[in-house]
Amino acid sequence: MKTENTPHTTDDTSLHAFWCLLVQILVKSSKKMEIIFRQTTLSVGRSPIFSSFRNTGFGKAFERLSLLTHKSTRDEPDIKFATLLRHSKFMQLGDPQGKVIEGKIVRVVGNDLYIDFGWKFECVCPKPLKNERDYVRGSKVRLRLQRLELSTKFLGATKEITLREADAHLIGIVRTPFRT
Amino acid sequence: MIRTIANRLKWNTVRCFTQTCSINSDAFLCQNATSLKDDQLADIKESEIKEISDPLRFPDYFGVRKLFRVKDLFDARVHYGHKDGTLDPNMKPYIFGSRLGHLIFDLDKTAKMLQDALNFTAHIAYRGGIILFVSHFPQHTLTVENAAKQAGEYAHAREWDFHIFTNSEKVYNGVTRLPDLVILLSTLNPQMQEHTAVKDAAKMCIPTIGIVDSNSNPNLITYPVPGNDDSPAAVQLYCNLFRDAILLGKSKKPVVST
Repeated sequence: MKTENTPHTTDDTSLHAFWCLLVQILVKSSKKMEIIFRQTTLSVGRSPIFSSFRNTGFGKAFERLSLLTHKSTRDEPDIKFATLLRHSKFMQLGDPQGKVIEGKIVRVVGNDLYIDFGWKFECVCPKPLKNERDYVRGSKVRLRLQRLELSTKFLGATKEITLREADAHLIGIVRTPFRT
Repeated sequence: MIRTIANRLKWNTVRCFTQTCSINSDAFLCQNATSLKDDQLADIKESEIKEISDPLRFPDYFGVRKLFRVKDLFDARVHYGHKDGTLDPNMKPYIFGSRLGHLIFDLDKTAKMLQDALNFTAHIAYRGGIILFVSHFPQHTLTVENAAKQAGEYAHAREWDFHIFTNSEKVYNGVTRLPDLVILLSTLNPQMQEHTAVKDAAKMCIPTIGIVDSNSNPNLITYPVPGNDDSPAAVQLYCNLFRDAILLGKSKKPVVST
C-alpha cells in the first residue's frame, strides 16, 4: 500500500478502495462464471453437489476420471468403417479353417455348449467327458475353427440354406468360474 | 452508491447464470442447430425463445443422430452378413464386399438408413402412434419384449397369427386400431421365409422398418436397415436404439393443458 509517495485526498482513497472492491468482485464473479459455464457445458451426469469438493483430493480425482470416461465415448472423432474393418480381428483371422481362438460359453442345454467367440453366430459343441464340471455358463474355452457358417446348397436349389451356426472343435478350457 | 452497483453486478451474474443454464438444458435444440444448414439457423434463433410448432421442418428434430456412432454398430457386429451363396440379389447395393465368402455390410450406408428409420420412429411416437415390435426368432424374444415394455409400446415376438392385420375385426371380435408402425427386428421367420408381417403390413398400408440381413428381401419394407439380425448383441443394440428414439419422440410431445 503506497501512502507516503503518492499524495491522496480522503475522496481519492475511498474511490480507490471502491475500485479495488469492484475489481475483486468482477474477478470473483468471472471465475465463478467460468466454473459454472464449464460445469454446465461438460456435465452429462455431473451434479453441482461436487462443486464444493473442487479443491480437495477427492474432487480433483473425480474430475479427472469423469473427464476420461466422458471423452472416450463422445469426444473422439468418427472412425471410418473401412478403417475399423481393416484393423478388425475378422480380417486378421484370414481363412478360418484350423485357427485356434478363444470363446465364452453363453448357454448350456443338456449336453450341448453354445459358445460365442465374437462372430455373427455361436458354435455348438458337445460337453467333454473330462472335467465336465468346468464347462458352465461364463467359462472361457479354446476352440479350433472349422467353418464360420454351416450353409450348403441342396440338390436342385438355387440358394443355399443356412443353419445359423458356426462349426468348431472344443480343445480345452482357459478359465472357469467354477474353480477360482 | 456502492451498494446499488454491487447489487446490479450480482443481478447481472445471476441473469448470465440462468441464460447459460437454459441454453444447455435445451441441448437437443442446440445440437440440432449445428446439424442444420446456415439459412435455417436464423429460424432456429427465433424459435429457441418460442416453441417450435412444426417438427417436420427439420431433418433431425429429435437428435437421433446422437444415439449411435459407426463404432457402436461395428462393436455390436452389425456388419456381419451371411455367406455368398445365401445372398438375395436385392441386397447387393448394401454390401461392402465379401471376405473369403462371408459378406460384410457397408456400415456407412447402414448408418444413414438407420438414422432415417430412427427419425421416422421418433416422429411417429411424437404424434402418438402405436408401434409394434415384431420378431420371430426365439432367442431374441425376451430382448424385443423388454424393449417394447420400456418404450411403452407393443411387441409380437411369438408365432405370427394369420389374419391379425388383414382380418382383425373377426380375430379380435370388434373394431381394432392397427399399429401405425411395425418394426421388424428380423424379416425372416425360423423357416427362413419372409415373415408374414411384411406382406400384411404392406397390404394394410402400415409403414414398416425392418432389419434386413443379406438373405432377406428389402423390397416391401418402407425403411429397410441392412445389417446383422442373428447376433444377440446386434439385436440388443437395435432394440435399445428404437426404444431410445421412441422415448425421445414421446418426451417432446406437446403437453395439452386441461
